[in-house]
This record gives sequence, structure tokens and C-alpha cells, in this order.
Amino acid sequence: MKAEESYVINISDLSIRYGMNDILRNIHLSISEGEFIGIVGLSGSGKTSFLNAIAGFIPYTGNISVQGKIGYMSQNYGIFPWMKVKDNIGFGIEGRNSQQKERRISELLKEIDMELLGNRYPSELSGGQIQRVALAQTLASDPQIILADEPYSALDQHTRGRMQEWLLTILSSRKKTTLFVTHNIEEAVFLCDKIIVIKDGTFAYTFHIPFTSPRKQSLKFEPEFNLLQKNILESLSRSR
Amino acid sequence: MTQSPIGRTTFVSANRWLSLISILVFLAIWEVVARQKIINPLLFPPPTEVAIAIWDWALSGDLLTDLGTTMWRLFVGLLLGGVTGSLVGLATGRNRRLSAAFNPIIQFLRPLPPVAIIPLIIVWFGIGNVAKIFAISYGVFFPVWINTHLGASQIPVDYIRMGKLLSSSRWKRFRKIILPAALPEMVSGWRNSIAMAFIMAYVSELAGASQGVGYRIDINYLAYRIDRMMAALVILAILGALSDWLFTQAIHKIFPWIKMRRSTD
Repeated sequence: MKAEESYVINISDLSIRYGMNDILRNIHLSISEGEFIGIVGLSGSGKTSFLNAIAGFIPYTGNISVQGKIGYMSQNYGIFPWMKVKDNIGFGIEGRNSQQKERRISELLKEIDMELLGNRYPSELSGGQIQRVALAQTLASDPQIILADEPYSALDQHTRGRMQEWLLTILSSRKKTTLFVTHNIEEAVFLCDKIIVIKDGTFAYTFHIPFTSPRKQSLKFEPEFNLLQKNILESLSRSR
Repeated sequence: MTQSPIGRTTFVSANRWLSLISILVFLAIWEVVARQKIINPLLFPPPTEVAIAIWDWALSGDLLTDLGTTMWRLFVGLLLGGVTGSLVGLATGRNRRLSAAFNPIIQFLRPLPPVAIIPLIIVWFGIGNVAKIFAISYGVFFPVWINTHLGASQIPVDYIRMGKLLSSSRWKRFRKIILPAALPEMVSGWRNSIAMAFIMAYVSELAGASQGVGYRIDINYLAYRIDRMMAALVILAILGALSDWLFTQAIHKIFPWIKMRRSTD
């Protein structure tokens, strides 16, 4: 019982079904505070459904216990096109007066290096800037848990690499528990402490990532990094 | 490929010149056809005579009165029908039960041409302003309702989910997410309804009116003054185009993101 209490997310016997199809079956997972977990799998394997169940967006059977507030970053529709950058960031800030709210928005704008772009609309930003705003919006409400659903999948390779480093820097200063869904194995190995491979509706394999933080892009050229990538990739095509 | 601001400005101003030239060419052809009596000039007066008829109408003082009357009815009718259509559209678009309750009735009334209901409106409300404003509101309601309903019902579920995660206040989510997310469709409905409001204002002024642009067309028809009829039609067309332009400009000023989003789509 005591061990259970130290987990931020506790999942037992989770199943998700769409119509007659079982997307996920009998999932068990416990996540400690500050862990950065990657969820990888082929398209349609149930990665996004898993995050959506934790966020309470979709129905499921089984138990999901979440200690703390959830923040969500998605590939699309993460930020609202009709709100300026500063309003997008400030939307989730509640229970503070307007001065405190303004101060918090300014701090976050500074942190994402977009102090001068607070009055811009999302359509006036680049893909990388939009994702930085999405993270600031997520952090603004000070969640303990961050669920990220392929936030960088639409970015080019170079911007994606910069965003990954930046994300690690931002999150390392806070003790956020992160579940990061991606179909990009390289991204998962670079960012995460642990990678779970979803296959045939179950958590088929778990890989522990041995690299210490902070991580730099040069890590991606290390033999150990490439071997891990290869192993994970093979696990996706291996029959169980 | 992105276009430089200078290139874009040149393109826009070239388009404006093209629009102006096309109007001038149209008027010139009209003048020549009428002056050369290709069509009976009594039935088809040249634009210069129509301009003189507008000038005389203005000098008599009736132009301002007619314009004021028509625009007042139009504005009130547009506002009443548009606001009602927007509210009902938001309600039916976001609430399945309300949608199930309202939709059959609205779908039954929708195919009826709004002008067909005018005799009934006269029986119910007489020939005063109430009847005319009701007729305009009725015509305006449907395009606004349909577009708002579509806009509100097609809001991507991710916006709604993000809203629920970020804010616990339903009112805040309605104001900051539902309303703006449905706004582009709603604005299209309002734009369509401006044209409908002009049709309904004109038709309703044909019966039992003593002022208004529609009334002026009707009495000039009885007097067989085609130049004055055309003068009133030209004024009506200018008012329609001007209203649409003003509405679009105001929307782009108040909600600049709508224009930005369309230009990046």
C-alpha cells in the first residue's frame, strides 16, 4: 500500500475498446514522480488512446489513479488559433488575480524565449514556436503530470532536435512526470528514461534508457544510442 | 511560395483598378446600348438618366427618409433574427437533445421561401413596422441558425478536451472556446443573411408601406417611371454591397484571426 502511494500514476487492468475492437487489454503500469516515459508503437496501436484514457477523455474499464493535475500537449489543436500567444498561455491560469496572472505569463514567455511575441496569433508563428507556446500553456496551470501526444511530429528534423533539447532543459528544472507518445524511436530514446512498446493491444516490451541528463544531440551518434534504437525497432516487428 | 508585402500591395491595388475599370466599362456599354436605342429607352434608360433620377430623389428629401426607414427596419430585423439564429444554433449545435427537439421543426420551416410567408405575416401583424421587422427576422434566422449550428457542432473535440483540462468554468469555456470556434461559420451565416435581409426588406415594403426603398420602387412601377425604379434598385444594390463590405471589415477588425486563419488554410 505504501509503495502504491509513492506513484503518481497507477494503472491496473486497463482495457480500452472501440466498438467490438479491443485497442488495449489488461494494462498495468505504475509511474513514479519525475519519470519521463516514452510510449511507442505502430500507427493505430493505441498510444493516443492510452493517453486519452489517463486524461479522462475516453471511456475505459479498469483502474487509473492519478495523483495531481494533468497537462496535455497534442500534435494538433493544442493551442487555440483565436487567442493571442499570451492569452493561450494564460487560459489555464486560474485562482490568481490579473496582476499575478500577467506576471506568470511574462515569466513563461521569457522561459520559452518569446517575450516579444506575446501579442501574436498562432497563425503568425512557426511550427517550433507553436510547440513552445503549447508547452508554456501546459506548464502555466502547473500540472504535476504532462501527457504529450506526438507534439513534434509535424516539425522538420532540425527544429525537432532543438525542441527536444529545449524540452529536456525546461522539464529538468521541474519535477514533472511525463508520458510522451511518439512513433519516432530516435526521439523516444533521446528524451525518455523508460520506453514502453505497445504491440497487439498490450505493453509488449519495456526498455530502460541508461543515458544521464542533460543530453545533447551528439548523443544520437553514439553506438549505444543506435543499438537501443535498433533493439526497439526490432521489437516492433518481432512476433511475441 | 511566400509573397513579399510590396508584391502583395501592388497586386491588391492592380485588382482595385481592374474592378473600377470593369464598372466604368459596364456603365459605358449600358449608356451606348440605351442611347443607340438598341433596346427601347423607355424600358431601358441610360445610366446618366438613372443618375439624374437619383439626384432628383435626393433633392426632394425623400431619398434620406426612404433610406433611413429601410435601413432601420433592416438593422432591427437583422439583429433580432441574427441573434436568435446564433443562440439557437449554438444551443442545437452543442446539445444533442435540444438538437433532436428543435431540428425537425426548423427543418420543416427551412425549405419554405421566406417571401412566401409575407401574406401570413400581414394577416398576423398588419402592415406596420412590426410585420416588416418580423419578416426580415424570419428570413435572417435560417442562414444564421444553419451556419452557427454547423460551426458549433463541428468544433474539433481536441479543443473541447483541452478546454476542460485547462479550465473548470463552463462559462469561461463557452466564451473562450465554443463561441470563437463556431465564429467563422457563424460569420458566414450572418453574411448570407445580410443579402436575405435586403430581399425581405424590399418585399415587405411592397405591401402597405408609405416609406422605404421598396415602397419607392413599387410606386414608380405604378407610374411607369423606369428611370426612378432603376435609381431605387441601384441604391438598394449599393446599400447591399456597402453593408456586406462594412460587415466584413468590422469582423476582420474585431476578430483579425479569422482572416489570418483563412489566409493560412
